[in-house]
Amino acid sequence: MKKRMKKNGFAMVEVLIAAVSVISIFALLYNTTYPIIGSYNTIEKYDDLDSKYVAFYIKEMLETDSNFSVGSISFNNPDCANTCSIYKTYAYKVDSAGIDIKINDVDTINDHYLYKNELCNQLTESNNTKNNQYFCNKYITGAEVTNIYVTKYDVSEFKGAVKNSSRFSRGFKNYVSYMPSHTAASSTKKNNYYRIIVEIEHDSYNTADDIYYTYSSIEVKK
Amino acid sequence: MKKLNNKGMTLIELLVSFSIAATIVVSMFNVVINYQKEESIQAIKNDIISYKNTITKIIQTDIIKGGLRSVHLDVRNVNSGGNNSTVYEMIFRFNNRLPYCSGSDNYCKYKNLTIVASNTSENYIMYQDINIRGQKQDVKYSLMDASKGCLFEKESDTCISLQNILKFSSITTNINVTTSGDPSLNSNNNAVKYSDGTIGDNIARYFKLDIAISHPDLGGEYHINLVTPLNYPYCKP
Repeated sequence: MKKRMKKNGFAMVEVLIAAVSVISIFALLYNTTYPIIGSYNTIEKYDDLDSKYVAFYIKEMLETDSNFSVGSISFNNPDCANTCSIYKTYAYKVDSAGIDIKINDVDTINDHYLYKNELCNQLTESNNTKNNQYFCNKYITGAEVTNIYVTKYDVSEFKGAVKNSSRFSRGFKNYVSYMPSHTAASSTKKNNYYRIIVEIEHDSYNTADDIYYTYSSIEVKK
Repeated sequence: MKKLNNKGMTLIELLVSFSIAATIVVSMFNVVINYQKEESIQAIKNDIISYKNTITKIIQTDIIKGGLRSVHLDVRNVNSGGNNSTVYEMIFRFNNRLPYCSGSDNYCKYKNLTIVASNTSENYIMYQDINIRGQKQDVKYSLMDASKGCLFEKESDTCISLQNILKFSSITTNINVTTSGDPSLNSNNNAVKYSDGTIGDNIARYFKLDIAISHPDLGGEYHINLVTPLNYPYCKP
């Protein structure tokens, strides 16, 4: 006698297990792809080629200055008059790994990063054909660079500090949050490598008050 | 043997099924329409960014390798076949022959950046690259073509309205000098920069070029925005 097929269909438990499995897979895919989409949108919005060229030229100026060393940055800006020592001690912990910006320690101080001109003022190489400091100051003014941040090559700590601070703009936080951390094993071997993050202001021609910022980061070897 | 249930579906079951199906179709329709619009805008963005990156790289490379000597901006109104256009022509003159260029110095030390803005005909930005035969080759980006009704060349089939336009907004450029102010080049200043038309040596200067492109759906303007140091010893060819 021919065996009859079972026509009962699926049990509720079977349907639920299948549905949960499918939903889990979709949730996993969504969680995997969403940061990639966010990263793409952020890069498209903030990290354009113009900014990359600006960061590149500043990198050239820093790297070619024989007198400049990230580990011995001094602060001469009169704006930080009485706070410079605190600034230097707490805002920047200079060690063999580089500069660590400790934003929480300097919450009461207005400036927790290098003034753009302070960075250029560290460039002291000058001869008949080149005044590096002068070139740097002229260039960052022309390019409308508003801030330059100096960090370690591995920016994971910097990312955490920026995330927890209320001092940065939403755009900058967004940019930094999607930056690669460069925590790979090879990066720890990159002695004397640092990273600069350049913030550039742009005016829109549509409305006078419509200003937007772009950012770019590039490694610097000093 | 058990008989099959041949009663079919009840009216309620059918109505519920149709309602659910209709709801899904309507919601999906809106999603698809929105997606199509977003995809169209994204395609325009990608095109702008791609072109911007291309000519930014070419101009930056030319300035670094060639050593910018002077820039001349010529602005003129042109009437061709009843179409009025404003033509912005920027002539770059370099100290050195451009790499890979074959020909005379007059050919290999000059390049043109041309922008045509018109309400009745094609709008475009064009710069020159050097091709593998050593000849100049136009790298052109069409912003819109008013004569076609739909104003974006690649999207002519899907252009919804004339609101979907890419439009040349403005061009500003200057070469800073350290002694006698900042002689900005703009549409009102049709002149060669610096006293003798040259940029000079050993003085910290930068060249700045900002071309703004606007589009109502792009949330602001897109800029081709170059700022290049001139005479910087390590950037000299």
